[in-house]
Amino acid sequence: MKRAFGAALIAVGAALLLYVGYRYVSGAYERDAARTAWAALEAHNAVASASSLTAAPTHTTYAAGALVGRLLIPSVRLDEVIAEGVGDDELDAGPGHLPGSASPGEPGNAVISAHRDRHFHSLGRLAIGDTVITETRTARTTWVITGRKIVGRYQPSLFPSLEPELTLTTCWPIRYVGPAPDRLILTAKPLVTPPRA
Amino acid sequence: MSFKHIPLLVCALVALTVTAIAGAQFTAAVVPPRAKAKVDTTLKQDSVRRATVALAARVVDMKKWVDSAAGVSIPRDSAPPAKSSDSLAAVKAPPTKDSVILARNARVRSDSAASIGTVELHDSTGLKGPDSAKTAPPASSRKAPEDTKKFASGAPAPATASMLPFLAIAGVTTILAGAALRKH
Repeated sequence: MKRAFGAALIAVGAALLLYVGYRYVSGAYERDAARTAWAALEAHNAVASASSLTAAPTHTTYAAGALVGRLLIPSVRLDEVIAEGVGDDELDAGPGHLPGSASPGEPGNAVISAHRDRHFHSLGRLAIGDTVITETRTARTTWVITGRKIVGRYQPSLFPSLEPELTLTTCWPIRYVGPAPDRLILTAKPLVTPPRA
Repeated sequence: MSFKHIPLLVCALVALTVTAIAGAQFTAAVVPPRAKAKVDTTLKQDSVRRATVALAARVVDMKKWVDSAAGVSIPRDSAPPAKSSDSLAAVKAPPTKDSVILARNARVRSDSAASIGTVELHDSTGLKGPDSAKTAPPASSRKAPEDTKKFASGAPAPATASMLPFLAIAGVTTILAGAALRKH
């Protein structure tokens, strides 16, 4: 009887591990696909900008799941492609841009969120003064982190801004078993905003 | 493994599901509860009544108030003017039936202004105002806010909580427990 129960437990545990592994592997696969797509988009954008002198739109909107840009944080060696949306599918592939928030580099608050156990696992190591770089189709912006706070899950933490602002969010504590009760909020201001070549 | 082991398997699955749900509940309980200020219910009811009366007086006497504010001369009759230091109540209006109500509520008006201030204070402490006090469900039945899917001013951060680490640990623990059971 005990042996049978033990076998059942092993089977259930194996099923759980298989599911977790599948989610991580599929996330990694989607992340690679997003990187490839972003590289192609950048190449296409370079050709388009070289052959056209049309001004970039002031406010860019994206379709759900569309590629928004690239996020680089040199101090923690983070290099991820940002997709539009903060649903499970988008956050599996990489950091998600919150719909309705500004595009990174444009006037307004651009909000980017990701899972703490995957793409933003190193976000807890960032401190005020660290540099963040965002690249979109229209702008490459260097940001400096100016605020770091931990808030409750339902505590208001996102606010509009007239000036360009970047907000990075993930769950907190970073190493927490189960749904983390808090959120880590990092806010950044643009350091330099040179126009995209 | 034979068919007689199926109930055991089902039991194990149910136990894991319950553990996950219980974990979520426990996490929800970790969030510190909002501080509740002591509220005198009699005062709240009184402020609701006074605010209602003041609003009724204000609406009924709106035309007179507008006329007087515009400087239109209005004939007076024998009724005495409202004695109040309140600027709203000091509006020169004819002592009609409505204005008598207004005069009677002159004090109420000033009080209702104070009660509005009290309402704002309650809001700032997370409590509901007098109007919503009637309709607000009890704290125990209040639903948790929905996860943020679109940017809005004052919205909480998007739900990035992941169950995968918990599931991975649960899986490893279950396998170890199963192996231990099979050994003995």
